[in-house]
Amino acid sequence: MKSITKNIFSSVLSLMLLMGLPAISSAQSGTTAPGPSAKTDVTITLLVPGVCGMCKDRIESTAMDVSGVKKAEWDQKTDSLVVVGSAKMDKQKVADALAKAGYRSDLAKADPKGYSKLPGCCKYDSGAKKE
Amino acid sequence: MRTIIILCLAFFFLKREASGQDIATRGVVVEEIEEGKPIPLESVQVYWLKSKHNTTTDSTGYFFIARSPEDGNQLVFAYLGYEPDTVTIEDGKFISIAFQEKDNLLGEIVVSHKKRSTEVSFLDPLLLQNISKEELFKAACCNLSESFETNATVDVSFTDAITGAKEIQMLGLSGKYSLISQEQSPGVSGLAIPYGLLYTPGAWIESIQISKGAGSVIQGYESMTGQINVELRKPNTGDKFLLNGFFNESYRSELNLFKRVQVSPVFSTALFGHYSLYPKKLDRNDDGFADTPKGNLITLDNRWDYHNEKSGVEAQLNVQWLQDRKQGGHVSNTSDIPEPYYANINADRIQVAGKLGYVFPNKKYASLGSQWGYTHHRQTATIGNNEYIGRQTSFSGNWLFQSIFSDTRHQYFAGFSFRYNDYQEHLNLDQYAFKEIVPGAFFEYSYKPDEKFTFVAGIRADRHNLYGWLFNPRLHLRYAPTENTVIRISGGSGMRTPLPIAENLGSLASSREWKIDGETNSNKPYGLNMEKAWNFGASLTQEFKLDYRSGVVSVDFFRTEFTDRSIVDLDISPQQLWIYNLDGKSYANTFQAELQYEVVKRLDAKVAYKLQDSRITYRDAGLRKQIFTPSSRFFANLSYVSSVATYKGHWRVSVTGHFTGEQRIPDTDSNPSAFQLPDHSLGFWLFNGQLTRVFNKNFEMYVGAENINNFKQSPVIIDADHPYSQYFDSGLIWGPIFGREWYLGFRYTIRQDR
Repeated sequence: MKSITKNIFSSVLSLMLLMGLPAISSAQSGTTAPGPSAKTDVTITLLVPGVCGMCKDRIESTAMDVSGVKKAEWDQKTDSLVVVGSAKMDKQKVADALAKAGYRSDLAKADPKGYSKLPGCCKYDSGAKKE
Repeated sequence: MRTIIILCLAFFFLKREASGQDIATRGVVVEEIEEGKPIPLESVQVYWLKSKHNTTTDSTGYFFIARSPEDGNQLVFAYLGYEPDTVTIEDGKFISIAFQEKDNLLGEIVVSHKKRSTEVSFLDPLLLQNISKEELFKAACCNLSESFETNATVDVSFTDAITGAKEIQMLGLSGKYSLISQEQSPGVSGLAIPYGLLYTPGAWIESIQISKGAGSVIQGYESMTGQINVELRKPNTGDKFLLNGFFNESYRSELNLFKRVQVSPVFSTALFGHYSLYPKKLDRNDDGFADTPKGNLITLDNRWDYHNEKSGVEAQLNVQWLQDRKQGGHVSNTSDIPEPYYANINADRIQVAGKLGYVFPNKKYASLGSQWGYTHHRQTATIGNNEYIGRQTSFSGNWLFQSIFSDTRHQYFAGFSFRYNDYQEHLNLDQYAFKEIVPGAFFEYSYKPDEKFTFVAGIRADRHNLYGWLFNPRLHLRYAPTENTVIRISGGSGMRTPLPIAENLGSLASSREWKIDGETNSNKPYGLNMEKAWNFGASLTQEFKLDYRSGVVSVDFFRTEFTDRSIVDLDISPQQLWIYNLDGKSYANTFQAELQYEVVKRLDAKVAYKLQDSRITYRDAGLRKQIFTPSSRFFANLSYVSSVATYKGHWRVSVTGHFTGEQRIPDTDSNPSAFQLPDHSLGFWLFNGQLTRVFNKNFEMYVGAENINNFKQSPVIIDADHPYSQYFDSGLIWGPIFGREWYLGFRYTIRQDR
């Protein structure tokens, strides 16, 4: 029984240390802030035409797959894609990945193959109405 | 009677207290969709047109906004995808706002939030873990018992080396102390306990909710350590079609089918099918006995859903049929075995569950509901010289009313329930038969003044024809001091009727003589008391974000203390199995710490550590550790996905490691030395892994291995050469019986159009 109590005690202690880590990080950075490496992070903005919520899913997930990208958020109203990443993130690579997925941007033309694979509601040049 | 008076007084005072509130404006906002019931809208912006003072709705759609003279009387409701709605407010009046789906400018709302496949609810007052089907896809996961492979809360083990029965453990106690439900209706219970976990195919499951500690009174009095609720795929939403096939190196083959059809705007139906085949008895450890029984299992399910938005009526019907055939024991059928030992275990089951509900069209927060269930289960087992036949016919009904006192801060459930169980069992020459008739009533009140605090108190009173009045109170408190931290406290009691033969069916695969030693001249089934326990627990959940990636840490402690328990004692003699009423203490303490974090992009890690101390006062030996309960467990899971863009092909990899600490083994000291086992088992590791290739949004294939490190318990059966000797015992199982097993499978899915 003693060893169990001791085990519980040591586990609680180590967990308190573990719990301290996020607490400190959230104290430093707030609830949505990125954490310690945020200082070296860069933010880029691209104009990516899209139509609907499905486009949002595709645009953001495509950008997220690019090396160095940490966060991607596309605004349906303004078509602006804000991407946050580490210093190694390459804006052109983000644009190229989007182009391959069928989305043009201010840095690259859409790949026709990628565009043809877009769901009907996402074909932004076909007259699909923005919601 | 006293309880009813207390409930009435509570109702009266709450009503009075609520009606005496200030005149600030409160209300609820919902989205009315064409199919399905109204959905509470969370995060709706609510602000005064004049002053712009604002608030937002919570997860229940509820809002509360203070009002001063400069605010005016025009309240605006703004929500993504809708034109803002402006409403003129009358003092003190509760308002109900409904956005119509057809008015949605976006057509659909896509919330871009990466959901963990296992999530701990932040808002629920219960410590509730939701396991999605995506999490289930990480393991071979052929049935419910295998669904917890990547979960640290529920542990699964075999009960014996002959019959293939599996048992789960939660909070250091057998799964029979948890309430296992399907769609919140009775699930694995009664005679189905030893094999019932095999009866729900993994491919049918939409999600599983695991709540630890005392549950809600609405579902009955039986939950002691927690509740496991299985939600099946839905007839009116989600994937339209699924075909899943599975094959492993022991020739285990499975086929699962799901198809849903929207018959009319209000009617939908779904058909589920499952067939599994174990064509061969395999003996990998060369003891002459099959490591797992051969046999087959076929089960079909048909669900219907009716939802009429205009009338407010909703109804569901679920019919499930099952046939299970198993043959274990000696692998060889030839006459060269001097003492042939075989096991034939069969089950036939039909289960019907229905729900009927009514949502008041003008009061979206109020509803009437009823749940109905019928089960007929027949279990037979011929194991060596032992013959068992069990029949169960059950009927259950639950009628509940949900509403609010003045506003949605004060919600309540009130209702009645009825339960009827008819059990008939034959074990060799002994017969046992009893009926349970249990009418009951319950009341549960929730107070949720804001996002930070929730208080839920419930009580139920049941009148049992054999055990008299049963009172069970339950209490849950939730406090969120910050946006990312939740503290929960829970307490309550639970009770259950023991079914000692069915629950220990695997022990028939031994030479032990059964001694059910309950009270004599008692009208209690088997002379045993109802099992009663109190459960108390506390937990802390901390969500965090590091470098844009989210994680969660949680710690919890639970104590279950029995006041009555049926003790299964294998220690008195290795040749006997005693079952008797607890006389003394029995408790289980568990402490669990868990960390989940996306350590690098697309690589999720989950680590958990669990300490357990479960003890029982045994008749001769006093307070001792409960058998086959590890004192500690360690769990780690890593899952990687090659792309977050799931609309295109990608890879998924999942690796899980479990460490099971040492377990006490029943005493075998009085056996000859060749048939003795050590006091405690070894601690051991088990590793499982899976690789999945998603070719496109419809088709994926997976390959994996269980028990990669090939760890096997040895010996498995005591005196396997002489199955009719007094020392033969196949029920002392603490580890895996068979070693590494490779498997492969595929899933073809037609997804819902978005």
